[in-house]
Amino acid sequence: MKDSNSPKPSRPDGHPSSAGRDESQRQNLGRAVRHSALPLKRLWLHYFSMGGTAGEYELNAYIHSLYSLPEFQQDILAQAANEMIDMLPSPPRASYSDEADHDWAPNAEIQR
Amino acid sequence: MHNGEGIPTPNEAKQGQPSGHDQGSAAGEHQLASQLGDLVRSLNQESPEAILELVVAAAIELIPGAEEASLSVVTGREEVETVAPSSELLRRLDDLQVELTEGPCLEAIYSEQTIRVRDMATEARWPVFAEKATEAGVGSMLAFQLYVVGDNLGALNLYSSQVDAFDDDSEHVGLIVASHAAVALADAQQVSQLHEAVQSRDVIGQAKGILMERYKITGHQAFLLLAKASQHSNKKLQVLAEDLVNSGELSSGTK
Repeated sequence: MKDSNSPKPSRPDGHPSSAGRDESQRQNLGRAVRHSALPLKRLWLHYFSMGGTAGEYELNAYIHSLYSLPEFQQDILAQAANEMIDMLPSPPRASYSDEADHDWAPNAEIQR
Repeated sequence: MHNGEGIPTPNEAKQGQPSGHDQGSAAGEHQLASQLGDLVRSLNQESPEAILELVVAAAIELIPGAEEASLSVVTGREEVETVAPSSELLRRLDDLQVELTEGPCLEAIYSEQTIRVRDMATEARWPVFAEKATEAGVGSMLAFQLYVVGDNLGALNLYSSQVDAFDDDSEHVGLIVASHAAVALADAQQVSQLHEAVQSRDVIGQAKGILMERYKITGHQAFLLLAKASQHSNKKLQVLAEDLVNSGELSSGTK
């Protein structure tokens, strides 16, 4: 994969500035996907459901910098990833003194 | 296994019958094998809902000791839903496990092994659930994980009013039923997910078309317009697209 270091634009109509923007968009997507551990299969399905045209194999290659996607496809993928992240259960939060036993009440009822 | 019984008479249907060389030394297994074969064929091409009900009915019929059965289906990360219970009591017992986050069904899903409860009254692994289940008349339980490579689908749960109703035979037969159920369910889920995805694609395509015509913009620009509206309103892009197609309006503010 020597090519990734050469200044060759990623698309025929690409120029250095758009190539740079492409790369940071790709990196941000990769970070988001890894951080939330989004499963590739589901990410592809969601992307496909929004009109994405690349295959699961191409998405994987794109995330790993081995393949480039047209800007439009990158934007669909970004929207798909963000929606999946928004659907994840929120992480557990701390509670305050006036609401501390709020979460425990239902369980206590069952244990009686 | 006893000889004689289960050997077909010549006028029975030929499909799935033993070969001429069959000595009949495993007659009991034949019957089971052909019943399982029937199950597998009936599961093919069914909708996910129909598969769930067929699996529950087959589990009760085929697995020695099973009086009642239900399925727990994994619907999201750490979310489990009870489906197709053979009685309302089972729905309550399965839901109770989800509520308590303990019990044999969840253990089968997450520990990835078969769970056998010989005597619910003396069960110490899930004391709260065991007490409630015993009160409800459950004597013993057997739960199998439903999985295919790379996907944890849920569990097949069997209940009996008798103590120690399930033996090794139950586990062996149950494992075969659970494996077939998992494969059929995974296929059906995939088909229905793709079906939904194609419908969503179509609606989003229509929404883009409306915006393209209305504002004289490209498909890409129309998509970005929908994406921005989705971020602002905290609604899924597909929901906004549906609204736009139905009402002609793109709602962008907060709900």
